[in-house]
Amino acid sequence: MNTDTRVVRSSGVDSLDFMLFEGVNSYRNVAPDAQLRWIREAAAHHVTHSQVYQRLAAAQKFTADQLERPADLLRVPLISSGSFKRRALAASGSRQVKLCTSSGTSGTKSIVPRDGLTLERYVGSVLHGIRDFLEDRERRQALVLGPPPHEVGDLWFTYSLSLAEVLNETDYFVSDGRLDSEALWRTLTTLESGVQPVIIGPPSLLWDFLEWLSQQRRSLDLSAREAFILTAGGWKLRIDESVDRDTFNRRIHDQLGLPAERLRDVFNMVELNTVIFECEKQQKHVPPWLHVSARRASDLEAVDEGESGILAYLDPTALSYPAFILSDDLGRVSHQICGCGRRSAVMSIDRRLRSIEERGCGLRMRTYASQGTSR
Amino acid sequence: MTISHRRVTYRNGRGQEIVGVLSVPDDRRWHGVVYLVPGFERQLYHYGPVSESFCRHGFATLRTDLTNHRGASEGEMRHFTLASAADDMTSVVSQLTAAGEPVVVVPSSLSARSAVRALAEHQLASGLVLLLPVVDVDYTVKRASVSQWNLDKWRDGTVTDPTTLVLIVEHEIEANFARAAIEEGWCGIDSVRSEIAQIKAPVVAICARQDDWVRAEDVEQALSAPGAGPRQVVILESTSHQLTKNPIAVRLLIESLLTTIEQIAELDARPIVHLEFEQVVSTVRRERRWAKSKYHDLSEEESASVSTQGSSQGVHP
Repeated sequence: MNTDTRVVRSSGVDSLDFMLFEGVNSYRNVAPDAQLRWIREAAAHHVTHSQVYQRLAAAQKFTADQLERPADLLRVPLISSGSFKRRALAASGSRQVKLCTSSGTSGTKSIVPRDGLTLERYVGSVLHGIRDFLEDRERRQALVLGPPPHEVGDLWFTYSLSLAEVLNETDYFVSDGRLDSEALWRTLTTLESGVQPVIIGPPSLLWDFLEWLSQQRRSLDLSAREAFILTAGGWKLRIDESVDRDTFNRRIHDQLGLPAERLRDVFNMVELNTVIFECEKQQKHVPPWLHVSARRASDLEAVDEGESGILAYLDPTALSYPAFILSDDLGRVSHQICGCGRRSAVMSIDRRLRSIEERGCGLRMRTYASQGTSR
Repeated sequence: MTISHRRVTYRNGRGQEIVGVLSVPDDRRWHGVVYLVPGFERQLYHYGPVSESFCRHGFATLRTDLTNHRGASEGEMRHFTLASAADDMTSVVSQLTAAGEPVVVVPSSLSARSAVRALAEHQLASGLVLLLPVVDVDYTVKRASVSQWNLDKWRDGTVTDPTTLVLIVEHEIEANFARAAIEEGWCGIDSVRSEIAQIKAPVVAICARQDDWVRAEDVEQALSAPGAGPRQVVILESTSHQLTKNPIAVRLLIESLLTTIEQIAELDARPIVHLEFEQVVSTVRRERRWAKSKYHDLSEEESASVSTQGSSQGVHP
């Protein structure tokens, strides 16, 4: 070792990873060139490492170096989310650590293989969203309306909820499929001073908690604690009980003392490796690395600004599988500047695709990719 | 490879109990202890994955919670001062060395400032590795204080009652922190520089280029005085003071740390194997569970291969 001061400069943090783990104010300083570069690099990776994606790219005469301008991103071959229902589309060479499954609400379960780096970047997308949308606080307690880690298995939704514990002190309030509202109430009323509670869970269980509060003739005022409520996962099998956003906002205000801006829905699906957060205006902002577009069912071309189409995602954070997804959702993408001041695209989901006709070209893509996986 | 974890306790100069966890691998390749000291508002469980990495590379670690701070040790956070942290480190290191254990002290952030004085005064450690070290206390407090509070409010007489509570990084502490920092000479880079120059053991500082709370050039300046022992500064590019939330930066940090400590311990370099994602997750969960029991329950739920032992006073691995 030297006796004088020596400076050793270590580098090696990829710019995408830097964005995920360290990026701040990135919704206000959008850099389309960086997004293009990240997606181009991911496309090149999947063309090289995924047999299915290689075949799909060859059929569409696609190579990653065709991605020269942001508009070229619409040429990236898409894998139907249905393809994951047949077989996990693992990239060769990746060291898979977890087979993540969907809930299978609408039929067969999807299986998505994630390796360590892909999972790490998933957590990075959550950290990035927390920094920009929920304030970067240290003294925070996550209250998860989901089962503890030893009960979650491979189900992606509950597994990803359980990762809250990696980031913050966390308590879980579902065991053996039952929500313990009394325990949640007790925790909320006895939290240490200065600790911000963040309730995370599906809207149906949050609704159950509100019902329980009504039955018990109890209410809470979480405004002084600057609490956040994050809903995720939708109503799933309880879709018939779902309520509109205004009704939900009102009830959160009346029973928990929180304004609508403290209630945020976050979006993810098992095939997507990024969590999409809502801002204080309850708008879902597309993070800077993710490309989201709404496509016409007939030819998969992009629909006009603000029109409804099949939502497609180009997510460069996944390395163990190609996260270039044609989803089963109809939705819209807007590039108008949101009332919150952030300049990123904003997306919304209208509803799930219901019929073969609606799926159109998307169904054909699924068939193609499924044939590919079985070869 | 088996790692045994043990709850240990010490007493500082003020008689307060310091609680820690000693982790010893069965294939230990150095008879000394790597002593990981949390920074301000951090607790020993935050260093679980770092400790795990050290153990997997043959090093025993000790982690303690600071007194007058968050965590399992005694005292209320509002009484925290740089001197109270220095007292903790002096007490622990002197008890370790009295038991024949060489110690490399690895303090983080604000604790690094305290460690410099403790080691300059007592010369007890075999090495000092400063992580993201605070060298300009005024600058860091200004940057870290969510309430815009700073030490000048004590200097200019805006605050005169040392029991007044001020908010620093989401924690209320007494303004006595500021009084003591100013009156006891903890402020200014020159004071750190002269203290580092007195330390006879090797001193290495690892800092982050994008750190909003600590300027890398200040750290270089603090280590620039001709010293009694070897000096080195490692600057990690593309990361910040929130380094623990960046797993890639953490891997770079662990590589730098292991290499540094192998050099201090005069050991041959071994290939570095990082924890997998799921290992990090299970370590974090385990550590949070241990913290809830104040480290009385060090049982392993997820890994049957790791044995645990009971509680004891002091360290006799």
